[in-house]
Amino acid sequence: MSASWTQKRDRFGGLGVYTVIYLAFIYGPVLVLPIFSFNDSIYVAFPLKGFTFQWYEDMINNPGMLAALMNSLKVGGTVAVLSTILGTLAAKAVTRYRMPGRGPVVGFIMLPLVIPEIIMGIALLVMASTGGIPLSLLTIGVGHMLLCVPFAMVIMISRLEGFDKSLEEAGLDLGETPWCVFWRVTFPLVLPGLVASLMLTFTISFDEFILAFFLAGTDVTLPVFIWSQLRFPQKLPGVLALGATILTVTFIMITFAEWFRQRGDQLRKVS
Amino acid sequence: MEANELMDKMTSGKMTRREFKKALAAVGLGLFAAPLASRRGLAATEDHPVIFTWEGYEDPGMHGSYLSKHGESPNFTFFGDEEEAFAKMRAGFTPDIVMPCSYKVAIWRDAGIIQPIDDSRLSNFGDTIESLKNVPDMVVDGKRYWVCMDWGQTSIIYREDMVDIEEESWGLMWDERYRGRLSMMDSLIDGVMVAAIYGGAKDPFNMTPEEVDRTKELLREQLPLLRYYSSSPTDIQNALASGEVVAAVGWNDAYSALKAEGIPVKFMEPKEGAMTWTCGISLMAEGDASKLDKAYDIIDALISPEAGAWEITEFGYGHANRKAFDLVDDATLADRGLTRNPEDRLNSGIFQEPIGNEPELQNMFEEVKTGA
Amino acid sequence: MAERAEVSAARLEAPRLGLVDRIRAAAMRHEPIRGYALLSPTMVWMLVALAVPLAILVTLSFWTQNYLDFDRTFSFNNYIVYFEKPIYLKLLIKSVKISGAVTLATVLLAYPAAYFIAFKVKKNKLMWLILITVPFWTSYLLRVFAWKVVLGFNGVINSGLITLGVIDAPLEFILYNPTAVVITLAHAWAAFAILPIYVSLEKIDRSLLEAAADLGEGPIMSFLRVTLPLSMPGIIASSLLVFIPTTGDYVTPNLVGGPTGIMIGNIVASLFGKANNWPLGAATAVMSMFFITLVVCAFLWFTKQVRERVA
Repeated sequence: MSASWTQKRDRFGGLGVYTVIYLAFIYGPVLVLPIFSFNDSIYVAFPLKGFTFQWYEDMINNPGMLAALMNSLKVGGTVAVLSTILGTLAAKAVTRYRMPGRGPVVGFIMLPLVIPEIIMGIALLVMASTGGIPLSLLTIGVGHMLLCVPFAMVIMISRLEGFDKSLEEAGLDLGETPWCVFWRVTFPLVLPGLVASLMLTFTISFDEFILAFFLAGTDVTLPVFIWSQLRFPQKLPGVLALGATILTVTFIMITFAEWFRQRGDQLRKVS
Repeated sequence: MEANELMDKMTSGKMTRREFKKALAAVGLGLFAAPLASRRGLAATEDHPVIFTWEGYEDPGMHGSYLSKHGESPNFTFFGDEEEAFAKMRAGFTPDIVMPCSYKVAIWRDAGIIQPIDDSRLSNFGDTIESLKNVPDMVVDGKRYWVCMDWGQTSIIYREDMVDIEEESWGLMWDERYRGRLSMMDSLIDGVMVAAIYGGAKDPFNMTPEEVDRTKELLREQLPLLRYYSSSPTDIQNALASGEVVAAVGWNDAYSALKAEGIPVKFMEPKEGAMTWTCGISLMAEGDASKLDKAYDIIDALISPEAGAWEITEFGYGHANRKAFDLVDDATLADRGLTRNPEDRLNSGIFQEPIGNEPELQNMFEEVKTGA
Repeated sequence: MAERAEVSAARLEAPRLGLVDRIRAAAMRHEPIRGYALLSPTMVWMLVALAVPLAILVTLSFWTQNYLDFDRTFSFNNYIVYFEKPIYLKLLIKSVKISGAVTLATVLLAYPAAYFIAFKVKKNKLMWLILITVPFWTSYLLRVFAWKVVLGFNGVINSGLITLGVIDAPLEFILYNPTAVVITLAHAWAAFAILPIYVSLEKIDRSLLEAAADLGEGPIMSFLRVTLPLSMPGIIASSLLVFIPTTGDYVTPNLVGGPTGIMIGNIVASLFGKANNWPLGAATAVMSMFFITLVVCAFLWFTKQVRERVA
């Protein structure tokens, strides 16, 4: 009876239903944004007034907002890749080798999570201004890297812990180059972790605004921009329109990617 | 000669700030040996000044004359509140122009963040409303550290359809009938001072210890009646629009914006007196000297009658330039609770001043908020 | 082309071991050296970027604020103030409680969803992961704002319940209090819980599950004895990633916490901003860091005990 338990439940068994509810919890509040982005009132409150496209016009006519969005994408992308690389190296080192001082090392790398961001921001700004480093997207990126490396490392440790190193050793014994072993053995094993880490670190950087506030010169990232706009109700609906647009565009991209992937699968089957 | 004096002032003004940064830097120096070639905290690639201000003032309506003279807008970067801005500037951020309200100017000057402004270089300065020209403490040893740009009032905005009062008083913020439907501002000057005024402090901005205790008691009493402490105009306006809050301490921009959306609100004239605030412009001490001329141009643009008319119409604040009021029609003025004679309104309220013993009051306020 | 030629040349050279290669080979056999070599890029980076802020933080905490200057004589004043006034410790404990509740809620809610994606979804796992992350690309501030609309006086929940006739007046207790902070944070950090758990579930060897089933273990027993212990690294990772940063948060409490929802982060932010007392702020932060580290160590020790007992 129990042996076939896993097979008996199909995709939309209890767990599937739960996951859909969970997704509803995650999406529920977010869907408020598109609703109010069409509402003909500067106030985000029920009951809804008329329908309008005005806030989307505002969004398009707000070069500062679009520039901030581009800045955030740039910073987020770079930070995600670099911190995932550094996090993975560290995670690999502490899980693969028996080394003294492992605990303190991990603890040290985790420190940025404990230091209040406002202090990190001020301290890094003091450092930059003393060192004559001009404030730019680069300084924001440096700040975000500090924050993201621990996240990347923790995720990769959870992936690599208990990782069977005999697999790699077998590869090396068989005369493969370390590079080759990496691509053929290690990489496929760590891939899910890499994906998770990239997504998480990107999200952190894309969302962070306390460090970014202190480390920004005249180029700001999106959250810093939104923080200043949120103060005034007149500006708020334009920001909601942007949030709704980001959601929609991402969905379209996912749908396209999925469509291409399925076509690819079909083509492969045919050939 | 004048330039020399300016330099002297600049260097003397910079001292505390320099020492301050040096102190912090000394900690890290042994670990972080970086070239101290440049002290600028900003990319100096563009040749327009950088203005550090509240969001909203970047609209070309506020600097039309600069735009027509130089063809481009200056660079703007924003803060959420002045304390945040102060922390960032103390840590080394050096824009060219910054826009504090009057009660912050003394402390910013003491910290060496701002330098004197030569008001004779501002063609529009002469048209400043007389009382705003002479805001106390803005001129020290004959040097002006701040020029006034705009002003407004802090009072209670309440829903006429939901609040029933016989007499307009700050006491509404302590009215048990509206428990859970009131909102105060999360601020010393616009929040704690309200309690001080209501408590009858003789000089709310320089309270005696007994008056501080009384204020603390009032704030404690008020805490369970509040929906929240608001930290932005958005908080106040959304809550009043939805009826979540029936009365909130706020500025007159909230009143005119809510009115324009057809919400039945009133801007109170409390019997104890509303508070009048005024904000303006200062030159940064370590700003880029090569951009100084343009910095004066932008200040002149911000205090021009045209900028003033724009601000009165769009924000509902009063502007410092007398002539700005001539460019706005009567109906628009009335809608924003303003008159042709701004002096009347300016003199009617309690004028905000620097708060004596600010840190102690802030700690007291934090304690109240934790319920201690 | 040239690159490829170089690579193959290097490969040809490989068997002829030079002195450098021999030293390298010796070092390769020495585990700690190899470990630290691999760790060095990350460590160097963190040292460069973190050492100075950390030094500033600790040093500041032993100075004293004197109007706008620092009194740079070494003193424990700030720490004395910290322990003398009840508000700091009280708020710290409150923050730990709030974050603890947030962590528990996020991990418990995320686990089944992560399990579903790891075991039940056959293809397009990436798409599911992206689906879960997308809402978090709309900006944190907007999401918090959205929660205000959902929980607010005339919000989605209240309007819905009134329409359904469940209540006749809006519920006021669901926003602007610590509960609202917990709900908002639990939502905001969902992705941080689900991803690490998914990653650790994904690596579980399916044959172990089949073996358990072959041994006649029921689904619940096999979950408790195989899946759960093996996914512990993920649970621990996500607990840490949610607990540590949320303890110091001050934006969420500020936006939805109301008059009673403030946390220790608000005090630190206020000391660095409004109250302008950086040294006391630094001391408060140092104490929070110390306390959070203690809690984390206790948590790690506890999970280790549990894991050892189960194994």
